[in-house]
Amino acid sequence: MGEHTTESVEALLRSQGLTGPEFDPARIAEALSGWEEAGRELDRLLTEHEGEARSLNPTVFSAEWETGR
Amino acid sequence: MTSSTISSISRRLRTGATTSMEVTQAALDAIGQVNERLCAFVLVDEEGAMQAAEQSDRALEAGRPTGPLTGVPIAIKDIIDMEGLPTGCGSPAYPDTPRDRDAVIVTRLRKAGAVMVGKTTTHELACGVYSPPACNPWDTARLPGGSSGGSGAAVAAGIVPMALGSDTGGSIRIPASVCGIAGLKPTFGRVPRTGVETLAWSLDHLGPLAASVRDCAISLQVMAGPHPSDPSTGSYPVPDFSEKLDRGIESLRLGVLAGPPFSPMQEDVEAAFQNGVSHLKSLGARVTPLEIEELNYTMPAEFALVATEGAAYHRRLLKEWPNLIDPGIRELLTIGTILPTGHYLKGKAARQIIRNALRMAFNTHRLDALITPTLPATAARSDQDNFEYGATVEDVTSSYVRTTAPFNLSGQPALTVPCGFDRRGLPIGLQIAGRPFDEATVLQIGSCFEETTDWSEAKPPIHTGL
Repeated sequence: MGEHTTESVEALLRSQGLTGPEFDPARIAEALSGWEEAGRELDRLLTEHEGEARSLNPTVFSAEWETGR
Repeated sequence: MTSSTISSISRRLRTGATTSMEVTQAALDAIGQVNERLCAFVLVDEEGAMQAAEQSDRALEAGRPTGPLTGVPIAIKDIIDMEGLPTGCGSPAYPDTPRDRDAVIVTRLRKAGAVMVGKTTTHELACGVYSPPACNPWDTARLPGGSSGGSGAAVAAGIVPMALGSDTGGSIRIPASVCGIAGLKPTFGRVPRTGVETLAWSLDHLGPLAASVRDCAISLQVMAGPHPSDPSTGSYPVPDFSEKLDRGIESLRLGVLAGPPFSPMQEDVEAAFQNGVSHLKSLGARVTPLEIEELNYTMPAEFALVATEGAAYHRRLLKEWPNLIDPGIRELLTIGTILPTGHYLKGKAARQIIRNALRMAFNTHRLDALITPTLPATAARSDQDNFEYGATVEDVTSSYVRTTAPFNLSGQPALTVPCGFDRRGLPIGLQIAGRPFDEATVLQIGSCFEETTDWSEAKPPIHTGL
């Protein structure tokens, strides 16, 4: 099940006001293990590109890219 | 009649060969004929459409058309506000209360003279690729794609020449591809989104699904440009998007992306794509095969952003009416609510790395555009969960999104055009992605491809044939 237990997920859901039969902590905990793997994939990419992400502004295109042919 | 393009309808309207009231009535009749089977429309505004058509006819008779879309019937995805009509967002949780103003994009289309006949089916909360209960006009047992599935079906069935869509991970290009029409996701910041329901604010784009690439260009011309209500639109100048449509593609430099996430793909898609690339070469384009390793991280980056931004936007819906949300979407939003902040930030950082890799590819190889298969597979059955690629099994949503989402993350313009059919007769799309704000070149390449092949001429079994 990864880092999350049913109990820890239940606490997280409760802290966000997500209670009731629509929120099944066991199921969410199981699903979260896939997200943990996705997180590790992102870690790998970031490790390979250490430092690079800091230099880019997500909301602005560089003139070089727009016109640099 | 309405199966024609915006250009041909406009020409007939301006020469008096037909009237907007006739064309609009034909579109409304077409909805009446096929909507029971296609479920492409959730709302038909007959009265509003005929009033707008009458006004258009008066303007045309006076020789003063209000804009390039004067008198042309179009449709609007049901996540986009239209004054006096509800916005349903494909969700039972959304009230039937009429919205009190038009979205900015709707205002622009109205000013350009468009006649809006109704609102099209969306996948719930614009978060999915099936768009039930809408069907694909090529095979009603199959999905029309999503989330702008109703728009794809409406255009492919010849009801309207253009319908608006939105695209967070492929939701314009997926339905356009599986329905065999053109679809353009413009550059992030090209089209204001005010008055449109959000899924993920850093990834959401608006654009046209249309009968032709030229229609995409005409439509974008009307939609594009900054607006103070949407800061993402900045102050980028709007060029003439049709200017280069007839120039051909001699000497343009195209990078052809292979490898993951574009593979694996269905055999027929691979064949059609390779034929498409050969065709582009035969038209004089200079082609460079490329692999961009960072694109392998498209899915974790895309979903880190969609889950968390979607959860933030829909927090009240999730908390107060969870029983009214589809279980799969509810799970995504729930996870987005409780994921650690670090996961979102890693997604944002990964996105920048992916953007940088794409930028480097363009600049290193002096590219005008990238070419990819739009999707690795054709239209799935509406009850189908997975695709099989040899020994690899992949869910339908991931299959469709992995080839389109790279350009949501990068924000680049991306167009799909039909490039063939599989052995079942289902359409296949070719994707063309350009430099930021260079939609004109993307449209130039797409138009040249479309004009020199006959894939866009084919009509599905459900076609109003007007």
